[in-house]
Amino acid sequence: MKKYFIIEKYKKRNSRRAKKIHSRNLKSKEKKKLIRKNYEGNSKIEVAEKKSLKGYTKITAPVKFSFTKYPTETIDFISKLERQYENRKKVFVNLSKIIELDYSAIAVLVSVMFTFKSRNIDFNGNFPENFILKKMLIDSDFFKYLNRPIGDKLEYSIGKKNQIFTRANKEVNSELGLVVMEEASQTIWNEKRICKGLQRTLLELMHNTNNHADENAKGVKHWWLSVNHNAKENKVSFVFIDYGVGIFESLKSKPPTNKWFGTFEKIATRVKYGSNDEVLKLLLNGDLHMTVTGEHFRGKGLPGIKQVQDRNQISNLHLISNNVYSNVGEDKYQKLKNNFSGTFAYWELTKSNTNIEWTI
Amino acid sequence: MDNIKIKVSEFSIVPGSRKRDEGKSAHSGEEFRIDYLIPKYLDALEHNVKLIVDLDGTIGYGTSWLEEVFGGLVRAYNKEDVKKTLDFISNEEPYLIDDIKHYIEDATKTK
Repeated sequence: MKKYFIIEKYKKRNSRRAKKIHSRNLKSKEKKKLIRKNYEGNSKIEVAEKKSLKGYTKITAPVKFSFTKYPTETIDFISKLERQYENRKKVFVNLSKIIELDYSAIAVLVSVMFTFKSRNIDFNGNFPENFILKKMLIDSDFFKYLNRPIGDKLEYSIGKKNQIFTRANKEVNSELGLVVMEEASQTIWNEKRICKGLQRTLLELMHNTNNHADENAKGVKHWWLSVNHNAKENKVSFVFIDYGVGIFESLKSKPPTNKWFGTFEKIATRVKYGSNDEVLKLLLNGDLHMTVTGEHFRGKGLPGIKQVQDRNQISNLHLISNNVYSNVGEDKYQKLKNNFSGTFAYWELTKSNTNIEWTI
Repeated sequence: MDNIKIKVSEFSIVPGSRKRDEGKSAHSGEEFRIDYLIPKYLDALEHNVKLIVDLDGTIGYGTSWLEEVFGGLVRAYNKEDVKKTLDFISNEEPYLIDDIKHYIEDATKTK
């Protein structure tokens, strides 16, 4: 007989090993049993789906999913996604139970999905059970891009009536306004018209992202523009999002050499306006520089957008940044319970908005 | 010598950002001021004629572009000369003339 089987030293070792293997097998059996139990009662398709989503963190979208109508719920949803993004965790977005959805929410979804995919983090999701909402999401190309490897670039597709657009280079792109304007005016007035307010709004928002969305440098953060045509109502709606620091954080975070340094603190102490909703109102009305320092600085972008709404060049302007929600058209400014790191703008172009003949 | 005229739409129908480095398709105010406006401004100043800036024919302006062009001009040259020399046409957006005049006034303060 071989030494391996008879010598005490080897016998001990073999028995130790056998025990280990046995215990490992038991554990594995138990594990398999648990997995089997987990899949019990599911069809083969459901089991396959469950298996394919192993390792994903499931995040459920708000049942009423609209950034303009339900900002608190939407910000909560974005925050959950952001946490996963920071930890490089795969995400599965559960959209099945949604009963309300609009383009502001779709813009959030698409932009977040692109952000994940551009960092090679898996992002997946399911369809809403509601057929109309499902169709809306399919039309937005959300699912088309979901299953495709992408960079961080989405181009504007001419002639596509509902779409989202971004530029990989985070620039101010004034040429985009021309294409968007041509198409929007066709939907609204059935002919090309010049809408100067639309171009100003786009420029101010792009400029804001390019200059202020990052605390340390220009041109770091992406912006996203969603353009949605409603031919029935002769209306085009726009959603603009960036995931920068947001208006108020941007004011707070300026270095001492910056023209905006200390602005926020000055407003808070001198005018006794501590809350951001009132600060936003001041900013939009262009009262900030007079109130704070009596000196000039270049912060004319936000008042510039407000002027456009006041002149009836755009309608229904909404802004959300940090913890403030504002329906500028209705002069409503509201402090939110949570914080959106970034700037969100929604506005519409309708038949009643000022426009001029296309002379270009 | 007759007054000199400059049409922004001949520079671009889509004037865009403040600075050149803010985008490849930015059609920036900095570019317009340095490459187009200043040579004509100096010419007008030298011959003691008006420089008429025609703002019509574009699809719109951002505030930063306007401030960079006209505020920037004041930051580089004499405010009174700028005010005396520049004149504007803006039939499509008449309010722009007031805005620009404010930018010219305000720019002096930061000089």
